[in-house]
Amino acid sequence: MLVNTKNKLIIALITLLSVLSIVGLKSVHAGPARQSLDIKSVKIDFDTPIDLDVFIELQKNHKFKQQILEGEFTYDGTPIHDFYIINESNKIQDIKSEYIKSRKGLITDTNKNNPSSKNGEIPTFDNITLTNVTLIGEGKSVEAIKKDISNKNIKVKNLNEKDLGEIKPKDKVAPKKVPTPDESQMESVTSAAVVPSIPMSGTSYFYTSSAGGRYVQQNMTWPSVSFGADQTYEHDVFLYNYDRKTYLNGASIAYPGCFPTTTYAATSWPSESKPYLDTRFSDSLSFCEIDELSYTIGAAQANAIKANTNYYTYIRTAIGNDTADKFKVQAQIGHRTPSGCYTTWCSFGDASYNLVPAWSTVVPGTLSWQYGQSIPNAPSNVSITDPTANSLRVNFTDNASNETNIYVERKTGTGGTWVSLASFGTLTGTGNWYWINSSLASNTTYCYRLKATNSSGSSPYSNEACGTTTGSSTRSEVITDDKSSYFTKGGSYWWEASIGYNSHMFWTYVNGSSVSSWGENFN
Amino acid sequence: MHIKLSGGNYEVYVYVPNNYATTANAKYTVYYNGGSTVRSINQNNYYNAWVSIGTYNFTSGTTKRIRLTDATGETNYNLRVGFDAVKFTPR
Repeated sequence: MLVNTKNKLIIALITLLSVLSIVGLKSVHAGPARQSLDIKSVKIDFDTPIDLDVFIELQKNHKFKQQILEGEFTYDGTPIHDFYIINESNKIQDIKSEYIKSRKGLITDTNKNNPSSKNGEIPTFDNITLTNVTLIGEGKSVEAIKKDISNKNIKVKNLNEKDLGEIKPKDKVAPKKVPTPDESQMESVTSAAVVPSIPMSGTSYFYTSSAGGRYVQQNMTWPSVSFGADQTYEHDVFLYNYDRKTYLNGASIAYPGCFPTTTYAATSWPSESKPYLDTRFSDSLSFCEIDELSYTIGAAQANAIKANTNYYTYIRTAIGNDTADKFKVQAQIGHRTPSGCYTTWCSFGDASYNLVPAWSTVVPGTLSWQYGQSIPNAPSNVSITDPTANSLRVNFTDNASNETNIYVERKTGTGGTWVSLASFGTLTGTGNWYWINSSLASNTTYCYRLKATNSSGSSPYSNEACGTTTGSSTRSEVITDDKSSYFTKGGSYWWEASIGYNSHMFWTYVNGSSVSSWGENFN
Repeated sequence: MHIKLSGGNYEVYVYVPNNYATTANAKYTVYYNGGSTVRSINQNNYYNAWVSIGTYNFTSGTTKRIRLTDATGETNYNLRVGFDAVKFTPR
């Protein structure tokens, strides 16, 4: 998954039910009905690959929002793992002939981009077998087909299930504290960054597919591989809907689900790497991503990837904007939890690296890239919070994954002179960080700015942000928590015991422009 | 034991929890000595953090409060508004 998911919502829903039924809250359901969805996803690994015809018979009596069928074949000596997607909103009349057409399209498209390919004869693909399938639909449909598979005596090696009703639209990632800064060697660049296990070079292709629609092909090579046994790798391609015209406006019936539907995908990563496809379908059941569209193929068992091998991922969408997109490519290293689960929803990202900087402008077209051969992106979102009488907290976003050092500079008062203050070395990947600057004078304003550097040079400076330390005061600080009698609330709301200040917080859903739930604090 | 505010200037902080706080437009209304003002916070940007919504003058004995509602103007009803503690720091 591109986002980490936590299981707290299900706890909250259970909590909610018990609150409403046991405590009998006088909550009124003034807002629109907000029910959780009974949508399940199940990934079934077959003990031995089953014939596509057998599965077509199996699935035709059931209704699913999406089915991902996975198979394997070899072309020109290269083993290929592929994904064929059937969407409810994009009804396919003849699954087999469309699957065959997609495979032939893959070979025609990739042959154009792989000059070293021997361009062997395209197979007929008369016999397609499936190694596994992922089915997304109502709980009862998932249960029914599981029963049918069992009744047909089809042996299942592995079965992983996920309740998509619990998936949240967006999860937060905690900012990390920077390592102890080195204040002694301000102007010298510290030792070179440890090279992460990511592809260091590759080529991106965005073109019209011979099988219809548009394809995104990403070639990549790892110079060295050092993944742990439970580590995952994700190759994430983001398209930025630059003109906001062609798709993703949330209203067009041409793009059900708000974005061009993925119809077929493939990768030449070894099957032992357990490739998975993230169509983002699960995240987008009820809302549109207007600005950004992502294509992801992941390797759940990343240590099966080999060094010095030219691999590719390929994703074809039904329709695509091919006039004004921009794109970026990220490598994401993560881990499996639990380690025996090899699905997209068991893969959690730990660090991301920008392989192609945002937002490059060659769509449609071809772009060759090399990792880390440019000056780093500047840090941003600098803000100063948590003032005390002698310290300030400096928050910032590290936008570069190729920096060797990040410097922070400070001036006293808004009119002071900038002075180099500290350096943090390499901060892994990109993300949000903070640093506590202590030993400051009370009741004094300080301003901060940051820059990132590497052997190619220095980024521009970040924004500047100022904060003021507190003075001494005879009045006390006062905190009122949502559990206190000075805190009142109304409408429909829920609470969670294990998080928030004082281990308790409450929450409600947004409600457009009219108030139906609220909380307030008196003092 | 709850302590009532003594009169004076206070910087008001709201606590944004690490979960259930995904609205980009949490509108906090501060009722202070002489009026009220609305400050919007993108709750996605904070993770178990005190967030300042400004410094205001509060008088002893008069009504003062901080109010947060679900009317964020957003139409994605999957987003949530997280309510939690409020802190008043003398300034």
